[in-house]
Amino acid sequence: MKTSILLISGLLTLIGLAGCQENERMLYEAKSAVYFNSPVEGDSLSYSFASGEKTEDVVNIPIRIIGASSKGTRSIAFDIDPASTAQAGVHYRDLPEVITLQPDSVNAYLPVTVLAEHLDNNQVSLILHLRGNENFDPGFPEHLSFKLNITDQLVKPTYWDIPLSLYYGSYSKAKHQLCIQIQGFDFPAEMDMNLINDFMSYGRLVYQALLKEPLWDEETQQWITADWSPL
Amino acid sequence: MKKITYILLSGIIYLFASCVEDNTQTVFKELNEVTIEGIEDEYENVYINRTLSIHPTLTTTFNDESQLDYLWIAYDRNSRLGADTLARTKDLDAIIGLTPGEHTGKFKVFDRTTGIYYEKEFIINVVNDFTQGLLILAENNGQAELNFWVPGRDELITDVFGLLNDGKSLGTNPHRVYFNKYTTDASSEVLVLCQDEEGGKILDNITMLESREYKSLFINDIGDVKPQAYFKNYMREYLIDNGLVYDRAVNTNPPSTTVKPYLSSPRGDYEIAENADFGDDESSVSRTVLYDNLNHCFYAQLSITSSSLTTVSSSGMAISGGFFDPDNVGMDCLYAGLSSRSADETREYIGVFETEGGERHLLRMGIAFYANIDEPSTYFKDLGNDVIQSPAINEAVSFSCSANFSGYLFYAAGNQIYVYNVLSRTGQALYDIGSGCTIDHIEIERAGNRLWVAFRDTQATSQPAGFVGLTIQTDGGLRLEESIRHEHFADRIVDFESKY
Repeated sequence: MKTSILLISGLLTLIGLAGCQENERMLYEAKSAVYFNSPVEGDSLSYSFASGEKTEDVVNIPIRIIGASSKGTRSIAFDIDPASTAQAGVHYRDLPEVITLQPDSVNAYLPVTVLAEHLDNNQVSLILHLRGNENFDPGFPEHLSFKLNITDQLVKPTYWDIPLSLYYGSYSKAKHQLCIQIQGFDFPAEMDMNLINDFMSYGRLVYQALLKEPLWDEETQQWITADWSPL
Repeated sequence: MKKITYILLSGIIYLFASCVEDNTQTVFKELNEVTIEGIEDEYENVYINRTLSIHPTLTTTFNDESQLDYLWIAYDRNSRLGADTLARTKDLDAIIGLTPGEHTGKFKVFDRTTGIYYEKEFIINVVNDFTQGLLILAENNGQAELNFWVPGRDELITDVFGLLNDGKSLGTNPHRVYFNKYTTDASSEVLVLCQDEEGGKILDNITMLESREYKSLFINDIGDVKPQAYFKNYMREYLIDNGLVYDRAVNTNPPSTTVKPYLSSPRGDYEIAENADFGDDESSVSRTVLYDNLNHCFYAQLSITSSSLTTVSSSGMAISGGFFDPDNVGMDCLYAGLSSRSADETREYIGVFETEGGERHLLRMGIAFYANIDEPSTYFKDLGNDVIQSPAINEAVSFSCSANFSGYLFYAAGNQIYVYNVLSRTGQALYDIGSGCTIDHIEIERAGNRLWVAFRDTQATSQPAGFVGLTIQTDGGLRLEESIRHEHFADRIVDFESKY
């Protein structure tokens, strides 16, 4: 029995050592692909001019590739969906014909200059679709379309529930307007972690303002009060 | 069978043992080894803009230094990409331009023929005139003035701010000065509070240059400012302005540059007592207690993220000693400070409280936050409430106590320093500053045994203010002995702060 065990152990050792060889490096070898890399769920972004701070602004729509970066510049192709209600020259301008991916980069941005002038209390949408070209195939199917909403109405920030509600309490448009008055700026379309401390502070200011004087919300016909515990 | 097995196994083992590449070097070369001597492990008090000389002695195997190159470098914890080169000669005679603080120095000796180097590491503690000493905030010709006393040289540098900031003024109506020491020298700061329109200034800790205005501490316009005090623990610091408390996060590096909007109180309006300091300047506490002179209650800020003040009872940490109700003390707090501390992080504080009728009481309280003791490790316990029966207590204008002199309250009235023994409830006059003088402010120095006393010579026609440092002696009984004196350099001295 002992001998058999020894023999088997020896054989297993031999097999094990023989099995140790360097792995073949597995690299991505398919054609590079491209997709919209929005941190916002549903690949859409709402830009609001409600604060009145600006009459135009540049929105950078993020795109990312699957595959390696290259030493040269590459173009990414896209189409505008005919269902878009935003009109070039009226609601936006300076949309490039192709998206440019810089050398040594896997991230690109599609800059769009959005305009406030002709919104007239409405919301319009610019719908974009990525398509394949000589440089890239379409990437993740669920991330090939992007919808940019342009409005002059207040839009609830996508990150209000987490984390802004910790600082500002529950959302209402009237409270949102109060926030803009106190802060002097509207919440950015995308969450900026560098602003967390500022949001904590402004949340307190909004709380103190409502503590002194609750706000009547015409839309909901309710009083907005200091009914949360800001941090 | 057994033999075959053993032979087989042995064979396998020998097979693997033989598969080793032999890189044995057969050619040996004797090295010209270098031994470095004459460099200390640490160099203290190396002043900026002065020459640091280090002349090491080298011993080599072949007594030959002709093939050696040298390099002196220094770096600190903030150095990321490279070190500062001090010299490339064997002897170091360099004018130091490093920022104040601790630096690591290295002396490297390279052998050009082999590429081998030898090194000696050491510490350089760089200081400037303002690294350690005493900040003295005063008023002179209607202007706030920051002066600096340099220990060791017993030198007083007046109007430091004006000297270094092209004659600019700190403001008017000086109130307090604080040294906020953080994890890096670069983030540490000197905070000067003035009760004028601007509120004062924040200075760079190293250069004493103006860093920013007081109002930059606020994210919004708070209207008229009236800075009063600044209380600290190692997680949060609290600015008191117009009786309201604004919290500031400092448990980050660098600390938050702004305070948050003021905390609200469950009692509604409130007014934080500016002289009630429940901190510990030698061993930072983890949380803060504040006293409200409007509602006559204590707050204990256990939650550092809450935007609301929390009374001691609602915090759940109150232990009743039967001496006073921390939620309803019924008196204004004129002064409170640390009287004793233990290694297990429990502390006792004493405070001078005054009734509406002007009767002054000595209140004692035990406070602990997450102490190293059995439950409860966090508590606020009232330990005593006595009417102070001590000479001139009702005329006292300034108070001081320290954990280094546990159980004693020092106070000043007129030209006298008095001491009150908290346990025996007796007091006596201790020191006379001189006839014709009046004492404005007293303060026991941080981590020391000296009492700083700011006074004015009422008979002087100009610049009547000066200060003395009185060493507190305890052997053979408590007494004060003058060791430092500087006179007639300001109109009024309002505050002292140790810089360390």
